[in-house]
Amino acid sequence: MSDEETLNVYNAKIDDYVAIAHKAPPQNLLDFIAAVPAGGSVVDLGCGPGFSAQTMAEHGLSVEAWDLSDAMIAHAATLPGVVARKLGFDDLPGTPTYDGIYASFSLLHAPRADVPHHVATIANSLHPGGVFHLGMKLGEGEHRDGLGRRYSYFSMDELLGMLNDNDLTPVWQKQDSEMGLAGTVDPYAIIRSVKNA
Amino acid sequence: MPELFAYTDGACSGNPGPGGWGALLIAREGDTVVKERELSGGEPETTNNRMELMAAITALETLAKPSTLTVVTDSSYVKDGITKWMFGWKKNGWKTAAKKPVKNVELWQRLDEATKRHTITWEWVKGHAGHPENERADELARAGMAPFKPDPKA
Repeated sequence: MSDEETLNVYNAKIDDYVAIAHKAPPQNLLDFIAAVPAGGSVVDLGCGPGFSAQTMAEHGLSVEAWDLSDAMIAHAATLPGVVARKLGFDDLPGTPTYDGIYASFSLLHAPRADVPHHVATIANSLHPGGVFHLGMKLGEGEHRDGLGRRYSYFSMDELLGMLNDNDLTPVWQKQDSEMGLAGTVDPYAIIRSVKNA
Repeated sequence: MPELFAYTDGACSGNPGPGGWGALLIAREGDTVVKERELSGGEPETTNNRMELMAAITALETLAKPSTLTVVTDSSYVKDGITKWMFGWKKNGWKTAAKKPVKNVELWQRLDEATKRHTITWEWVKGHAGHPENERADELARAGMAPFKPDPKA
C-alpha cells in the first residue's frame, strides 16, 4: 500500500530531486542496461524524476517509468523517450512481461511486511533471463526519516533470501556504508539478479 | 584538511570463480579518524585480478569531488599496471608491446578514467602482513564474495 506522507514529501521536493539527480549516469545503471537484451522492455519502478529511465531509453530500451508521485510522473513525462505512468508495485502484471525491472531505492518505501510479496510479483513479471536491479537500505525494521518518508530495512541475507525464494539468481552486488563524525551509519546494497530460465 | 586514504583488496575463490572486492576509505586528522566508509561487492564468475582492479576503481569512483588521496593495495597486478604497463598500453592504443589486446582492458580504462580526477599517491603493501586496514579491506572483499559462494548448507 502506498504511503500518503511519503508521497507528499516527493511531490513537495521534486525540484531538489531534479537538481541532485541530473548528473552522469552511475555505472550500475549502465551495467543494468547492458545486461538487458538489446531493445528489451523494462520498467523503472519508482522512477522519481525519470532520469534513469531517460538513460535507458537513450540506450535503446523500451522503458515505462512508474511512480505514484504526481510531481515525479509529470517531470518524467517531459523527458524524451520516457513513457511515464502513475502506477505502483501492486500494478505489476505478475505474468512474464518484461526483460528488466529497475527498482532503485523505491521498494524500501513499501511496508516491510509487503516487500517479500512485491519481490515475488516482480520475479513473476520478468521473462526467463530478465534482469532485476534492486537498491535497498540495509538494517532492521521500519522507520520514518527526518522528512517523514517511510523506510523498510532488510539485512543482506534477507534480501538474498527473498531473491533466492523467487527464482532470481544474484549476478552482481555492491554494499556501501559510511560512518560520519555523528556516528550514524547509513548502509545500502544494490543487487542485480537474473530470473532463472 | 583531513588526509584521505583508500585501502583496497580483491578476493577470489578459484580463478575464475566467485569473487569479491573491498575498499576502506578513511579520512584522518592527525591520528584521529573523522570519517570512514566501507564498500564491498562481488560477482559469481570473475578473477582475482579483476576484483583487485574493481576495488581500486570503486574507491576512486566513489569520491564525488576531485580529491588528494593515498591508495593502498597489496596487488602487484594493479601496481605493475599503474607503474609499468599502462603508459605503454595507452601509447599503443590499449595494446600490449606484443600488439595483443590488453586483458581486462575495460577495467584498466575505467581505472585510468577514475584516476584522472584525483591526485593519487599509490602505496604498495605486502598482503596479510598485519596491516589492520589492509586486513579490513580483505574482510570486506570476502564479504563481497560471500553471496556468490556455493551454500555449504545446500
